[in-house]
This record gives sequence, C-alpha cells and structure tokens, in this order.
Amino acid sequence: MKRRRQAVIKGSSLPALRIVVRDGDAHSLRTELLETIDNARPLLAEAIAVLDLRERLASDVDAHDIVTAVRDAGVRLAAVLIGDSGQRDALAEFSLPVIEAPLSTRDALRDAALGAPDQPDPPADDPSEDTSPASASQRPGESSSGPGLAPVYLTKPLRSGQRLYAQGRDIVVAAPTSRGSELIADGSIYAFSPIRGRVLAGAGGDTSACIVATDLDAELVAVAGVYRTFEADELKAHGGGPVSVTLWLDADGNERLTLAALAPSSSTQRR
Amino acid sequence: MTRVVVVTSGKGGVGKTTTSASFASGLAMRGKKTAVIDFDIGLRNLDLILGCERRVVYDFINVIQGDAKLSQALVRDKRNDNLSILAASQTKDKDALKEDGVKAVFDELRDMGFDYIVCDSPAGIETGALLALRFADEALVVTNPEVSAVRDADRMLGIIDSKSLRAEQGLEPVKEHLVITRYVPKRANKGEMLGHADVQELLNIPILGVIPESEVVLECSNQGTPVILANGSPAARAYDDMVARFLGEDRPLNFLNGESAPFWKRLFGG
Repeated sequence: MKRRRQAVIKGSSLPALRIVVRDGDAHSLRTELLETIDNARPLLAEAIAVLDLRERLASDVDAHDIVTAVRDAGVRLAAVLIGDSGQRDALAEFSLPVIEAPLSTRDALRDAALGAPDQPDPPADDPSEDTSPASASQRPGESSSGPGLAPVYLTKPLRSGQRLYAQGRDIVVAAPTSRGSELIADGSIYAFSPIRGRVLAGAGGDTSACIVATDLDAELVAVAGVYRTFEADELKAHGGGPVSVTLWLDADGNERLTLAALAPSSSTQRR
Repeated sequence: MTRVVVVTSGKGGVGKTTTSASFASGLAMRGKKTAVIDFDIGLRNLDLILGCERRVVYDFINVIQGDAKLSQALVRDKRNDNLSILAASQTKDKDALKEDGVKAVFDELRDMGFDYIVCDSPAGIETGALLALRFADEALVVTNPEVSAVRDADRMLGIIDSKSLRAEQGLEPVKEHLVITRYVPKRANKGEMLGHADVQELLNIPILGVIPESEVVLECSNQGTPVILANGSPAARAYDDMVARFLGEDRPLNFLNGESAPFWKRLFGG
C-alpha cells in the first residue's frame, strides 16, 4: 500500500469572525467595542477571530489601542486586516499577522453613497471583486455577472458533515443537501433541489451574491457574512415555494437579509 | 466473485448487529456461502445474537495478529453450513485492527470461495467503522425513523462516498441500500415518527427493507437466534423480503400499513 506523506501543505479557506471597527467618535469606541465583544462572546470563544480595521481610517485612535482593547477583553485574535500600509507600523509590536486587504470599489462606492468619509481609491486590479462601473450602480441583490468561471455543478447528494466550497464561483445545486452539510460559494448559489443544511453565498465578501432556491429548508443562510438561522417550519411559513435570499441595505445603512418568494406559489402542498 | 457488504449506521442501537445476523443468515439460507464479521472490537455482540458465543475460541484480532489461522477462528453456524462467523475480540484494544490485516483476511475469505462477506460495523465514525466500510462493494445503511438516527446515517453515507476504497480509487461507487428498523406504521401514520418515505427523501437512497418494531427481536437476541428465523413474525418476514430484494427479487414493501388505517380507508384513499 502506498505510504501517505505525514506532512503536507494545503490551501484552505477557514470560516472566521471579523470584528469590524468603523470610523466614528473616538470616546465611545472602547465602550461600543467591549459591548459588541460581550454580546458575541459564545461565538468568539469557538471561532477564529480577525480584527478588521479597513473601515477605520480616522487617525485619532490608532490601531495599537484598538488591538490592546480587544485583547484585554479576552479575545484571542488570529490576524488583523488593514486597508492601507500606514497602519502597519502601529501593529508592529504585536506578534500578529497583519493582512493588507483593501476594501473593494463597490464597498467604497456604497459607503460614499451613505455619506461615509472619503476613502482612498483602492487598487483597481483587486482580483476578487467585480470592479466594472456597471455593477457599482446596481442595487445589492441584483446579482452581477459571475467572475467568469463556470459554476460548480452539484449532482451528488451533499451529506451531513460534507462541505462544498466553490472558490470564486457560483454553485448550481442539482442534488439534495442534508442537515449538517455546508454549501459555500464566493459567488451565488442556485438550487433546484432541496437545501437542508447551511448555505453561504458571497463567502469572499461579494455583497451582490444571492441565493435562489426552489426548496429552501436551510438551517442557516448567509450572504457576504450576514447570516440568519431558521426555526423549524419558519421557512414553511413563507409558503414553501421558490425563494430568493438577497442582501439589502436598509435606511440606516445596515445590511439585512431579505427572503422573497420567487413566484407566488399557488399551493403549499408540494410533494 | 466475493461481494463485501457492510452493515453500518453511525448511530448506536439502531439494529446493525440484529440486521447483520438476519441478513447473513438469510443469504446462507438461500445457498450463498457467507461469512459475517464483527468489527466491534472490545464490544463483541454478534456471536451472542447468532448463539455461538460458547464456540468462539479465536477471534478476528487473533487472525490479524497471526496467533491463529482463519480456518481455526471461523465458527460454523450450527443451523446452516453456509454461514461462518468471525467474532470480535472482547479483550484486545481496538487499535489492533489494521487495514492491511483486514485486507489479508478478506483476501483469504475470497480464496476460500465465500460469496458474501458481511461486515457488522461498530457505531461511530472511528477506526472500526471506517475499516468495516473500507473494502465494501455494497452497504446496508440501517436507521430508525427518527431524526438523529437519520442524520447519522446521512453522515455515514458521506463517509462511504469519500473514505471507501471504491471512492478513493474512482471505481464504481459503493451500492447503498436503506434499511429502516423499529418501524411502527401506526405512529408513522399519525406523524409521531418519520414515515419511510420521509426517511427515504432525506437520505436519497433506495429502500431495501422496512423492518417493523417487534417484541420478537428482543426474545431472539436473548435466545441467540437471528430474527429472520422467528417463523411467522412480521419482523422475520420483513427481513426475508429484504434478503430476497437484495438478491434481485421484486417484492412489495410490506408492513407499512398499521392497523389504524382500516381496509376501506386505504381502498378509498382516505
């Protein structure tokens, strides 16, 4: 029998929680930060936590103090995301990986539309995002064209404990997925078979990703990190027909998931 | 050609060993030379269910470790010459089970001309369960009409699809069959337990058998008789149907209608 190598390097894309710190009043920052962390403590205890400072560009409170506050609150940080290299020096003393990942054009434009302070233009060659002007004018929820790769086509049942991740692509679901399975796409997910597990679209942060399902009975749905769970039969109350899940900005600029019937279903009895 | 069939479930207590014993006996009764192996090292049960515990001298681990020959360890069933039992070790550590050892035993069973090797898997998804399904050509996935058992069965189907040798080598996939045990039609009709159609929809594999809940099962276990030999009992007939279907016979699913649905109601689709 062929011997397996005991040490190998493999790529991965692990789910992590981002603690996002935005611009705002420096005095109330600490309180708000600690409050947020306290509310999410059970989640933070089990997941990888990453501090996202990309939306924090004000210079009055520097990255150093924020990291210290988060650590003092008992959060074990795995890395810090920054938008421009200027913050790198302030973080040098922590033995933390610092990842420079500029916000996409779309995020920047959206924030600008909401009256957010000026942001420097991110590089236009960000490969993970669709930066065409057309998509920037779209409302979130109207899916833009995919990244150009063919979708992953699921034809075998996705079982409990199994995960399908489509990097930079959409998924077309043509076989049922079970409770306890995970369907993850950087793009959108279109399901023609029952979805019973977790389903996460826009995993790479694409807020225009959507989930369209003919039979959605999911445990959890998420678009671009915004998620919601469902109690038993909660989805049935939607009529049990074809459903689309999209991400919208409400009047306060908060991201919300919206569930909408794709077509009015004439009957709830479908078997 | 020898076919390896694993009887597995994920969850414990759903009736793997009961099903293994009846399935193996049923194959033997139909003239198939069958070996049934207990993979539950440290918690051996199959020999008790088949009533041969007093005749076990050597076990599976003894053979794997070279302490005994396979022919010495195989216990011939006293009711049917076609059936041989290889008991699990009650004393050895479960780490004694090794892939190459299992393969060597299977190869020898093939050489001895067995038609079927039935592997009675332990519960869980650890070494014993993984090795039981490793060389499988077909799988009987046993579940109860209950959500946690169904979820574990689903997990096990995923493991079969990824960890079996057939899956790893890209051969024709393991043929999967669904066996629902402890089924009470009356309660399923009332919605108190999952119906067989619900279970089948959730797991998406064909049903091989639905075994009704029966007091006979407990009695048979205590007496060391496979349920399939309990003449006249619905559970015995359901197991017999299951074996017949496995061998290609077309038999309707019986025992799915409880006494609660009167004849006229069924007739008029009530």
